[in-house]
Amino acid sequence: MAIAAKDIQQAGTANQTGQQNDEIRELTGTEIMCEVLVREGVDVLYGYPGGAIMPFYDALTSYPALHHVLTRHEQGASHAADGYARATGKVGVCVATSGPGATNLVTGLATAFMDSVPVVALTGQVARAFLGRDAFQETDILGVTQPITKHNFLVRNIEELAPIMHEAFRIARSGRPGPVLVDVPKDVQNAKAVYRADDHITSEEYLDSLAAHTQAPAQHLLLEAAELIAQAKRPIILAGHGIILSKAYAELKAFAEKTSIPVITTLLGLSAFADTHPLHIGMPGMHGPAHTNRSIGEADLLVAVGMRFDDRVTGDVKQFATRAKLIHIDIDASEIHKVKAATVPIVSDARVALTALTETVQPADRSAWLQEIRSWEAANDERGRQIKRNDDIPDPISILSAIHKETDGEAIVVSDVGQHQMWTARFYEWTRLNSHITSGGLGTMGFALPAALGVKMGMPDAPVWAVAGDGGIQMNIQELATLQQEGVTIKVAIMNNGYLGMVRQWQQFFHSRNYSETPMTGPDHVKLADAYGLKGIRVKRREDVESAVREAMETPGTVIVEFIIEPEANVYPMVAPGNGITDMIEETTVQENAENE
Amino acid sequence: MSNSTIATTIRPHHTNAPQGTEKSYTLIVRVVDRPGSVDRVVGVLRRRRSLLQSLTLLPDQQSGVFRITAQVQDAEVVIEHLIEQLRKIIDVTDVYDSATRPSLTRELVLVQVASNGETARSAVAAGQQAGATVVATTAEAVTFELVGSAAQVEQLITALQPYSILEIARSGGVVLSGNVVGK
Ligand SMILES: Cc1ncc(C[n+]2csc(CCOP(=O)(O)OP(=O)(O)O)c2C)c(N)n1
Ligand SMILES: [Mg+2]
Repeated sequence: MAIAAKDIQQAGTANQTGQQNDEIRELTGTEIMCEVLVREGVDVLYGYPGGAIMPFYDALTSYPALHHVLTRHEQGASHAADGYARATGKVGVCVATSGPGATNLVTGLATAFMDSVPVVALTGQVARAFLGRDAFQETDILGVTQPITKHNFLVRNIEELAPIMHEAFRIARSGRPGPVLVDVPKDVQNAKAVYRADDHITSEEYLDSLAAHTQAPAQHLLLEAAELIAQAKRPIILAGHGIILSKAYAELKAFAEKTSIPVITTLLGLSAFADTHPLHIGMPGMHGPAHTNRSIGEADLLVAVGMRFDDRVTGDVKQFATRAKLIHIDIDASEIHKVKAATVPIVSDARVALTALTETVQPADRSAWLQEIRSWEAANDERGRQIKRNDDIPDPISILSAIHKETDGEAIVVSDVGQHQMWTARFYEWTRLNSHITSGGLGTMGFALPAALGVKMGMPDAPVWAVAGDGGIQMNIQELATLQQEGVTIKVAIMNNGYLGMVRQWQQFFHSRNYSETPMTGPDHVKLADAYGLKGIRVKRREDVESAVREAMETPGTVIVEFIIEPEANVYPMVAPGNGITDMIEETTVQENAENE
Repeated sequence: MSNSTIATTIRPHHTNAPQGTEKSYTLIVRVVDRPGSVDRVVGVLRRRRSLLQSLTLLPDQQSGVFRITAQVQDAEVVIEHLIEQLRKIIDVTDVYDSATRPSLTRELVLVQVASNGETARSAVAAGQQAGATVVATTAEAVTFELVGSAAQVEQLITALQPYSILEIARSGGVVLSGNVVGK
């Protein structure tokens, strides 16, 4: 990644790092904030200045170790921090001023909260004397973000600033991760206090000390779980985001291989377990392939790890996995029994639990069960049955295959929200670990472009593709300027169907084709790219898909490739909301309905 | 549980409790007094759609800590889940269902009934019969006070129902656990 020429002004102070530990120094609040950020290992922050956060921006220039990226909207900053965190496992940091700056972070924080992503948001607040008086740009951001943050702080005085800053990182990273907001009144930013780095332990030191004391789950639970596994004839592993958050890839693989249990990865679990592994059988739920959902219906045991039975996974819970017992492993005790009662509840980090469980279980051969699932899969020919009404224009599968091919499967793919997201989840072949990044729980349109900026900055050596619809790309399109200014290179695929496609699909299925407010015109994406100083490519023919992707890869800098796809292509199969997941809408059924109309 | 086939009682804006499983639970939540900490407790109760019957907030014996007593009407599984949700709040230091520990529960109630020369005597008798004491009298009204269990409070209110009740002020449950023999 080329960090663009950024005029880093060296202010008079020499607070480069937090290493002069033994020295007693009086620092301003904002210098303390920067010292803590450096000590917490932060190398990049995404933000936008304004009145109440100006002292912080003033201090920032004295800390060249902290690279600040000026996004073009605070929402972009929050998604970029989120993308950075998802890709690296480190804490993503975003910064905004009070009032409108802080409220613009809300969607990004809610997105990170729903998907358990460690983010720290720093917001300026009006000076304490003005708090509660409806001062200019005063917003009760603590109140606003209360339900969408793991925790938030209003710093009441300079003494609590350093401890709170460290605590914010600790909270964001530990247990089930999540976003933490720290609201700092302007006069606290300007106040001075003695700061001794040695007085505070970093989140890293804290987690290390925690890890030293981490215990395996209780022996009786492991034995009960092993017993259930030994008895099971048709077990299934449901692997979720928890595998990625705890980096339990090898442990999941070892467990699955020892027990020969087929693995289903949820939307956020995709790329936690290679698609090409013989035990991998697909994604569950609303847009999962038929054989995956059927295997859940037939299963006698579910081993759910780091997943929370989202309603897009379960459909009607009463009809979900009715024959199955459940071993539920989750680090968050409040997820156990929330949706589905667990036979054996194990509150634990996924890696710790899987390691212990793998040691406890006996090896088994379950090839007959796997073969049965494979036979359902073969009978269905999922890939073959996707939309190809018009063979001449680019289709989603060919686009995704081309990206995989031209990046040797090494790309990290960041999808937006809509039909293209589901096609990406289903038809991209996830072989690189943690290569699938998307807004799962909140389903935030506008996520992909800014998140991809953060992903690329966190993983500069990986090719990064953002895949978005013609609708969602508009929602944070301004971040093209950020990519350009920072010289960060990502590739953007826009699947242009001229519709808010996913909504149109629901209208087609459930509102008798009443396409209310879903047809949509857009800009000329090639000219748009050009206006931002970037390259744009338009692809109208299927035969040009691969060469366009190759050209994008070969062109330096960020490139936008717009694919004109079938306007009314659908995502199949689909489980209607509220139905059982084995009750699927297939392409054939819809065609028949259309003919009957 | 959503998994069961038992019919559920639909309670708008509240959890759908499996029929016949709702009970009153008293949760004790101790929370550090920091900006927004009490909001978070109340926010979780609201967001998780618990049916609140009473909520009191008072300083704890430990300085800088609030003690919240929340009476909720719900099913046991819902309560267990609610407790786990409350436990996740960073500023919450302790949360438990009072029924799981030996506890003493008391409630204070003040009831004011309209009275005139004719009704005063019998109103006072009815109140005292239900265990209350008279704490104020004017030409227009008599005010009773009672400290007791929720049931005793209900009894007093029922006993005074025939008179014209002007106002009722209840403290909500006050619970102390540990070193007590239940009841
Ligand atoms: C911020 C936001 N607003 C609205 C929605 C509802 N929504 C979900 S998918 C969708 C359509 C997306 O259209 P487009 O980006 O073109 O993608 P497509 O489905 O056509 O692939 C909409 C409006 C949402 N998920 N997020
Ligand atoms: Mg579209």
